[in-house]
Formats: sequence, structure tokens, C-alpha cells
Amino acid sequence: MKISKIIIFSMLAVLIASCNNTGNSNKDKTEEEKKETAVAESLQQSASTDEPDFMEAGKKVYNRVCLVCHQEDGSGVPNMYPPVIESDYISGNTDSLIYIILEGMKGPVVVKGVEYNSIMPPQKGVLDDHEVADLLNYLRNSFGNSGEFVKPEDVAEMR
Amino acid sequence: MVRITEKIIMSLLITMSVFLTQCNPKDNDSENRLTPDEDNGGIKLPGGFKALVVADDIGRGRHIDVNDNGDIYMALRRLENGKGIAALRDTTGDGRADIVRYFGEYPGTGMEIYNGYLYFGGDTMVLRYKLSPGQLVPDNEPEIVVSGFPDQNQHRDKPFAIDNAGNIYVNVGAPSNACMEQTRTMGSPGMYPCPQLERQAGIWKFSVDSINQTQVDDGYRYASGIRNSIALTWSDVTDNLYVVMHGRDQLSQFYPDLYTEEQNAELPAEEFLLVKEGSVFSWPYYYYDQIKGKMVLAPEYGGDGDKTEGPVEVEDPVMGFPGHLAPNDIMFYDGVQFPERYRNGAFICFHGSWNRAPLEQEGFFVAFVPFSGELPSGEWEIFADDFAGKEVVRSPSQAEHRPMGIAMGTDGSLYVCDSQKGKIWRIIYEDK
Repeated sequence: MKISKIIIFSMLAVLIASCNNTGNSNKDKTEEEKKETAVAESLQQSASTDEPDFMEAGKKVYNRVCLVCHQEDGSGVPNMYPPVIESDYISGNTDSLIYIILEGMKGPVVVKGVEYNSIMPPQKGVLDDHEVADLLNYLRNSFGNSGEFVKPEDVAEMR
Repeated sequence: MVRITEKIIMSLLITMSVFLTQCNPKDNDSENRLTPDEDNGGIKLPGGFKALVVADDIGRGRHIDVNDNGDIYMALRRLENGKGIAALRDTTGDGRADIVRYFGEYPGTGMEIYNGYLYFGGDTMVLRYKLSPGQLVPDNEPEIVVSGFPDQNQHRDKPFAIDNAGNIYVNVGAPSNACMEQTRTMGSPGMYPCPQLERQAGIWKFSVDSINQTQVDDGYRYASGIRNSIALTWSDVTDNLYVVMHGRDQLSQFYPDLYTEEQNAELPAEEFLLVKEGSVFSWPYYYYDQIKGKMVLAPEYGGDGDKTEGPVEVEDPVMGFPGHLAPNDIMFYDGVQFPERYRNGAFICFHGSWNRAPLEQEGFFVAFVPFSGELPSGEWEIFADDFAGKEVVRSPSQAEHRPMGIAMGTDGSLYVCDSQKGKIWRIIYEDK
């Protein structure tokens, strides 16, 4: 799964790069494009090694803070804690996702058609901007999720 | 034309339902001999014991009870066909349910038949349905036995036990892991005194025959310091309440300097409690360390993993099971079908852990504890195993089945239900 993601991102990176080379970038790059370039560069950088840096760093954060409830395979705990596999919350709006990590979550929430009613503690006092960004980039490239690249500045803005 | 076909179908349905309701349950005590499944329904049992699958895929089971006529009632964690209780009947005498019906508006956990009523413990109240002889699904509205419990996200199940003197004992779980100022947050200290003990983290006693009671007006705090008791029962032999408590989570996650992940996987004990009126148990100030065999001060209250001195006096458990195994139902065996050594001993359903991660998850079995009088007379042992269907379980979702509820039929068979898919096993002893 991860490998296919990396291939897709690398292809994307090549596409973007070739666009730039043919002088097709008269107008300023949009925020979206910047982010895509960032993730592509980040993934490309480490194409020679096993995984991009954020994958390892993000996984460390996940194992330390999230795994206890969401579990090693991301499947959660039935009836208690929702899965993070193929999650709309992870692949969806970035600001909302950052907000959930920083402020936590409480009360009924429906994930993949199932209602959960637990508490996720806020992480704003536990994780710094880099750690949140690494975690989210890891999650968006794991467990069948996807989504735009998250930068530490995006997290800082939401604090 | 359409209307007419509809009418015909409707009347056919009505006729069919009349026929169905006339199907009587067959109690297999009689001449009918049960044929166990060759693989015992996928579970592993001690020699001489066999099992057959009563039903499968009927919804995520919680607690279960069996009526005198063999009808089975199982509370559901989630609504199934919009209903919260499954009712099952075997009309052919082979022990397998051929009628499954659903009723009840709420999902829940508690389930016990008492004095012609089916008592049901939902998340916010205890209800009861009047059972009519021979009728599988009650046709009346339920009565509210108790309501008015605090709103809570964590540990909100309201399972219960009923004694022989007209009392019902209801679990009101703690709304937190360890009464920290900020729930499940690293570095947050424990509150002292823990305000959650006032109306939660204990067992409240009510009248089993009165309706519309509330916790504040009619409840009596029978015992305190119990984090959450999904497994609770009244022992008719010794006339006592017994609870197997869910111990706290996340020792190494919040206190990595004091606990290793290995220690967190084993600690603290799931405490087996003999509950007397006015008993005060460990939560939240202490936990029981079953390896050291002593009560230890909780790290949120200044504990260091070994220190025992703390703010209040609390009672020890009668036994400590390994951590996080999630004891979710308990029953004292007072039947005659099983061999002598099982009489008056306790069967306990362990739902299986989630808080042993990153180590592999454990539990997913039914344990047996031999008893003599009020106390265990020997070590606990695994009675029924292999519910998970695999050697290594890394997360609870990977378990194929998780034993959740246990009950005894009139013939002394043991019924165990599962919370993953809704499978029910009937365990019998064959004397040969």
C-alpha cells in the first residue's frame, strides 16, 4: 500500500516538475500546488531510502500517543474507539483534522456508519507542531488514507 | 390491483405469524438428545465437555439469560433491525434456535429474567418487560425500574444483579480512567477527594419490584471504589454480591518513567471482589498488583509503582486476574449437569484486552474459579478457549469472537454469547 502511494506521489512529482520545466508556471503556484510540491519533494528526497522522514517520525508519534486506543493495525476497539482505517476524518478537511488532534473529541461520532461515544483527549499540550504534522502525514499515507501534505505552519495557525 | 395483492400478502403474513407464535419451545431435557458440533463450534473445552452452536450472526451480544422454557434473551450493543434485544427459540428440540426475533427500543448490556419479568440494563436506565407464559416476544411496553443516572461517555453500561430479597444492584461506572483532572491526559493529576465517587464508581441498590425509581431519590450506595463492573452477580449460596472489576488503563502511557510497556500489559489486576454492604474498594486511589500481591498507590496520587500508603483504607480483592482482560460477565454454577468440582464455582467471561498494546492482546476466554464458601478454593483456570480463532491477536478487531455473556439453562447447560458477530454456544457435559 505504502509503496503504491510512494509511486503515485513520485509520478505526481515528476508531472509537476515537468510542468515547471516547460515554462508553464507563469502564474503563482496556488497553495494546493505548493503543498503537493512539498509532499512530492519530501517523498522524492527519501525515494532512495526506505520511507520519507515523516513516515518514521509520524509512526513514532502514533505508537506513543494513538496506538493504545486506535491499535497497531488502526482498527480501533469495537464499540469504544473508532478505526483510523480509510477514515473520512483523516482524508477529509485538513483544518478539521488538525483541530481534532489539538482539541480532542468528545461525545457521539459516527465513523463508517457506526456510532462511537468516547473521549479523545486533546493533544495540544502533548505534541508540538512538527509532531502533529508528522503524525497526520503518516496517517494520510497509511491505513488506506490519503490527503494533502500538512506542514508544521498549518498546525501553528490552528493553535 | 396492487392494493389487493398487498392485502393478500398482509393476511398471509398475519396467518404465518399466528402459526409462528403457536410454535412451542421444545425443552431438550426430555428424550431429545443434543448433538454437539464436531468442532464444538470452534471453541476448546476440557475433556468431557462439548458445545453446539445455538445461533450465529444475530448481532453484537452483551448479557444473556435463558428462561425456564428454554427461550433465550440477549441484550445487544447496537440496534439490530432497529431493536436492542434478541429473543431466540428452539422449536425442534435440537438445541439450535430456529426462531430469532428482535424487540426493545434501546441497545444495552444487562439481561436477567426474574419473577416473570425480563430486566434489561440500558446505558441510562434499567427497564423490565412482563413475560407472558409461552410468548417469546413481550407485547407490552417496558416499565422503567430505575432512571436518572448521570450522563457519561465512559463506562455508561448499567448491568445489574438481583438478590433473593427483592433488591437489584446496579453498576454505575466511573466516568473516567483514573479520576484525573483532565480525563486520559498525560501529566494530569488525580483529584482528591475524587468527586466521581459521589454518584458513580460504585454499586447502587434499588427495589427490584418498584418502578420509576431514580438514583438520587431511591438509590442506596451499596459499595464504592469500583471503577466499572460489567461482571456482577448475586451468589445464592453465600448470599453475597460478587463483582469482577475492570481495572484502570494506560499506566505506561501516562507514566513511562515508572512503568514499562511489559508492566503495563500485565498491570493492574482485574480485581475479583466480594462485595459487602458499605465495602470500599481500590479505585481511583490505588490498584491491586497481582504480581506483588498487594494494593499499590496509583501514580496519579503520588504512587511510584510500589508505595502502598495512601489517603483511605480500602479492601483487597479475593483474587487478581491479569490486567486488561476485561471480565464482562460472571455466574456461579448451581446446576447439576457438570461434574462436582464445578458446583458453586464461578464462571467468568473475559472479553479480551485492548490496552496490552503494543504487546499482543490476551483474554478472549471463559475462566473457572473453584469456590468453597465465600472464597475461591483454588487458582483460576481457563475453561473455554479459542474464541478469538487465532493464536496471536494484535488488536481486538482481529478476534473472530469475543466471549461477552454467560448464563445457565434449566438443564445445567452453559450458554456463552459473543460480541463480535453474535454467536451463541451451548456447552454441555457428556458423561462418557
